[in-house]
Amino acid sequence: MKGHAAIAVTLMAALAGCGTPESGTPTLRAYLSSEPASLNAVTQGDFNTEIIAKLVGDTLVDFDARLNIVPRLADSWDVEGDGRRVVFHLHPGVNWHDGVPFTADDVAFTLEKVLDPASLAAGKRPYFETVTGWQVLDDNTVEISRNEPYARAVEVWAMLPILARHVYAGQDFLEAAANRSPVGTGPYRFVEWQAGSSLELAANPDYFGPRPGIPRIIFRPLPDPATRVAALLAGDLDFTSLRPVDRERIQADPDLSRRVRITQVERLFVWYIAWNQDGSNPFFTDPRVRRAMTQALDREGFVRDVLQGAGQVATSLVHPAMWSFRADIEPWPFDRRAAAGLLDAAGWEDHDGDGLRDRNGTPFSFTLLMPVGNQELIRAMTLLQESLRTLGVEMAIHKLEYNLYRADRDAGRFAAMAGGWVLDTDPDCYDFWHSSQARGSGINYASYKDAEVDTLCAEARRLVDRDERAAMYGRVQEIIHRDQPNTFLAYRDTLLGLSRRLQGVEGSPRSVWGSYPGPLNWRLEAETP
Amino acid sequence: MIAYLFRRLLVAGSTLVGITLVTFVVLHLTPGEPALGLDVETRGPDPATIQALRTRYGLDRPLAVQYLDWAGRVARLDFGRSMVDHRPVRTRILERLPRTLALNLAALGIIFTVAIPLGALSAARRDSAIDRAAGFTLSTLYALPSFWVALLLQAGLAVGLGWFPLAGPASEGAAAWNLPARWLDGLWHMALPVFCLSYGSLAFVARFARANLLEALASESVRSARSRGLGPGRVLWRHALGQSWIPFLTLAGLLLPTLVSGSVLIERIFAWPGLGALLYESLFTRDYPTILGLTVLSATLVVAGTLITDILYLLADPRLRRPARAS
Repeated sequence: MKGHAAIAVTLMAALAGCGTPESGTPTLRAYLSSEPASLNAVTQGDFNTEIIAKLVGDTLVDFDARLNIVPRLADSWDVEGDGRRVVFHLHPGVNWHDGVPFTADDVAFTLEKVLDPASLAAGKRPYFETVTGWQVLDDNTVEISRNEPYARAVEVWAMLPILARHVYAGQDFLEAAANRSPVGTGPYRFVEWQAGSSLELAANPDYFGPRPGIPRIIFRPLPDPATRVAALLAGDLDFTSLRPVDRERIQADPDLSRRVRITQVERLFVWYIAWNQDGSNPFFTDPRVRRAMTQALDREGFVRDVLQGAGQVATSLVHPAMWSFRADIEPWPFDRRAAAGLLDAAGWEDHDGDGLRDRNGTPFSFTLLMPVGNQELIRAMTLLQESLRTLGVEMAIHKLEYNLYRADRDAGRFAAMAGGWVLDTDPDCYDFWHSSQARGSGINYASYKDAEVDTLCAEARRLVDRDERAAMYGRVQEIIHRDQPNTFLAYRDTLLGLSRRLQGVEGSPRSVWGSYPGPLNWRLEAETP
Repeated sequence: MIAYLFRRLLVAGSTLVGITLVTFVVLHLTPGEPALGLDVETRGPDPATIQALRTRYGLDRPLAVQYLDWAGRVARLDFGRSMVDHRPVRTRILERLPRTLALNLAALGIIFTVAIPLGALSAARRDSAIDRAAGFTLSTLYALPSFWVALLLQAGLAVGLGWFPLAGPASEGAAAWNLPARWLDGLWHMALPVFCLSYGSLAFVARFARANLLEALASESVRSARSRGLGPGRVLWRHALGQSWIPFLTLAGLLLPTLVSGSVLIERIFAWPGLGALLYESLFTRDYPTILGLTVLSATLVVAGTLITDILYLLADPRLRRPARAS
């Protein structure tokens, strides 16, 4: 069946006079979910940029597939004063792809750029805001100082691919040519970017780290998920994420399952509903009401039927793959009777007999804000809506285009709000739960306030010791479970479809590409007909 | 006639200014900041970064000043720089314009070459089996949603049979091939998207052709031609078609802007890097200069299409040349 394509390609190659010189090189066919605006990961924080930037470039440290911090450009580091001072010892003898030696001064340059607001480094700057100084001790040693202790002082460097000072010299940082044809130190060299069509990388034979197992990678921008799955099935793509329906279809078809392998990988992602507790609504300041909401939703059923097992019921913003996860906290079970009891106890009963619960003349009727477009989240919210109706609670669903949703969400203009979080590797919860981060000033969207959580979140981020921190974050998870400021729906796993010829892929909770050496260990096996 | 032309030009110019003004104001009043390359699920940008962006692109000036400055530069064909990738908007549009033009020209070509003869046939054989079959088939096609047809074609002809490429504008490594091979490869990649873009409009154009030809066939001159003993084929092609060229010109004028309006869905499904995809991304990331650049482009074509049609009418219809009646 593939014969026709082969004929067409042969025809084309014949017309072209000769095949492409690289046509014999084993090539990984990968995708980008959208064409990156820039390949400079300091100013451009989106996912596709980071994939390329961390193949062409290097970070000082990185995460392995188990989320441990491992050396990359830095061989080792010393941490003093709970992160107030970090000294990185850089790998000696590393060269940029253009042959110029890499030095500690390039680290200083990258840091300067992150901290300069004119770089528009909105995604990275918050992690480096407390940096007050840096000093190049010698070509291979750099010292970073912060004005306060910071638990993540080392691991935030895993987000920052180092840029070459000499490459950007004399150019506007945002408009520089290197943003579209980057020069890095990394395992792959940038070859060519055909706008809209393909982006090609070739293995760097002089790489200081592990030798990349795949000599060449071609990325194609494929924005539509259904097209990506079709491309995987057609043999045009070596891997992509699947929806549960795709998995069913592939497993049901022996021909497809001969070509495609499916694995399920944990992912640092959670679906949640935030209940607004800033007093602008009469419902959700009472923790009993919030717990009733959680118990009214059949989360097990959602994971089983909608996600088809690609995930698990969530308890907090700490993911099971993280060292700080408290596995002993059982999620509140789906129990409508318990939910009804909690609502009764909170004074929400149907006093006027209209079928709707009310208190002091106010009916229990609210609107939930959510972004358009995600079918899974929409189905979960519809489940909740139905369930609440049987409990005498009316929930309207208000779907908004993402930017409008974000504007309302960030300003706290909602009673309830559903969304998804890509979780950080660190359990630092200051931004999520500290009362200073409520409404408008941070991402504590629910405007949750608890004195003990405030103390724990503020203290634990100033400690480096993991055991101490684990105990404190364990306590935070307990309190969050008790208070239910958010209802956490599910940690959503990734279903990965891989071509049979692609070997050595170890899933990481950060994404397929998101571990080190990760992609360098992948191999392509010769295809057997 | 000069006065009429002058007036039409004036109207066209002020229409353009009006469209850009309204778009500009609405865009800047819509909530949301330019995206700053952040993933959607993360927190918003910090105030210092927002300020830096506003300074860089002059967003902190009064709206009227911003508009005048922008309009002044547009008059010199400078559309400014994208707030997302910081490249000139003109470069970004020109990069994608050929792809969208190729797709739409091919689609329009197919629509006209298939639909007009089909419509003529239907008109000549009015109420015959052929007419009914054509009407039924075309209406059915019209009713099929294009994204669904696109996915079916991908599953059947690309994944299943492997006759056509699944998506994208070119084969891997095609950039190194010689020109004829690249062209052939491009056409091969265009086949499925062009089909999806054209089949739905066949019904509309064929019905349009049929209606106009029927009207022409009933007219005095055609009847007199027939009475002079001319054969039905000659009557249809020479006289009836000759008479209905004005409505067809109007149609062509109306369709002119569609040449650059990319289809977001089809471009997305076939990973076709055209202007539709660019507009979609720019709206999503609130990239004001790019959105405005694309607006100017399509508004200009709408206005130009109308203007050209008006002028052709003028040439075709002497009554309009009288200055006092012209409107």
